[in-house]
Amino acid sequence: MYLIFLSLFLGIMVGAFLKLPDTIVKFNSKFQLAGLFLLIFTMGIKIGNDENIVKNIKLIGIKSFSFALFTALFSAIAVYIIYIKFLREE
Amino acid sequence: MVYIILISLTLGIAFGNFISPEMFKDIDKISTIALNLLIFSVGVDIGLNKEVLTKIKKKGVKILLVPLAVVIGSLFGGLIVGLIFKLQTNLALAISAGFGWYSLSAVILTNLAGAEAGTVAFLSNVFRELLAVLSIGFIASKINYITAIAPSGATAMDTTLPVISKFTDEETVVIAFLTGTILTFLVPFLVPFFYNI
Repeated sequence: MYLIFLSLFLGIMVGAFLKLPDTIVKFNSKFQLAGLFLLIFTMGIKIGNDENIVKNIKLIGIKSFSFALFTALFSAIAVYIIYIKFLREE
Repeated sequence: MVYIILISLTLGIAFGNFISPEMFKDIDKISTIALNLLIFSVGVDIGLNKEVLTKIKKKGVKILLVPLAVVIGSLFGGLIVGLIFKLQTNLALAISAGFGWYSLSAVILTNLAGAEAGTVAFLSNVFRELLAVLSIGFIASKINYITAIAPSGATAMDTTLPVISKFTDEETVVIAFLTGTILTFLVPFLVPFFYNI
């Protein structure tokens, strides 16, 4: 986890203080896109490779999916309310 | 874009079914390296944008309402699932307090409540991460950027941060990272807390 903080911090420093040429900035956004697919692909591999998930999905899949759906949905509703009431800029 | 994400994910799952555990170790390493390079690259974007800090300062402590709302929304959602499936309320709340961090919440609940509860916690939070990956783009374009942080929960500081970065702006990414960090620190406290009430 500390690696994440370090990576982000170094990235911000590089972006803020080095004078990056436009080609690097453009490359950065392409790099993000490629990296994103790699990350999501490996995310899929972790799930497909996990016997625990494959074995249990029939048994507790619906229950688990409901937890995911309802926690995500109500989080979104709560954040939406906070946004409208407190964070929206005029 | 959402289709490409869905395809990457499906291909990964299919591929993951066939590979050996040894190969998986390497993929785990690749995944960690990819994640950290991505976070670095997201950091460069934030550093390049000179207005981010001013905008964040203007919002101030109100930003902390975002993780608070995710906590309340998650627990409320978990409570409803508990009622639907007739689960013990404390267990339903504890599972919801994983906020998508499946590895830790599963370990804690396996220790406290046994293998079955641990497995439900694990799978629930895996699904939450997936749901976040698939819904961030939709929420960001149809509702607003800040709301797109909500499904990610604790994963907004790592695995889903690059997705949030893709679909929103630098200011939202900073708020997402803060939200994810706060939720990540809350998981080891809140999961046992709710299980023991």
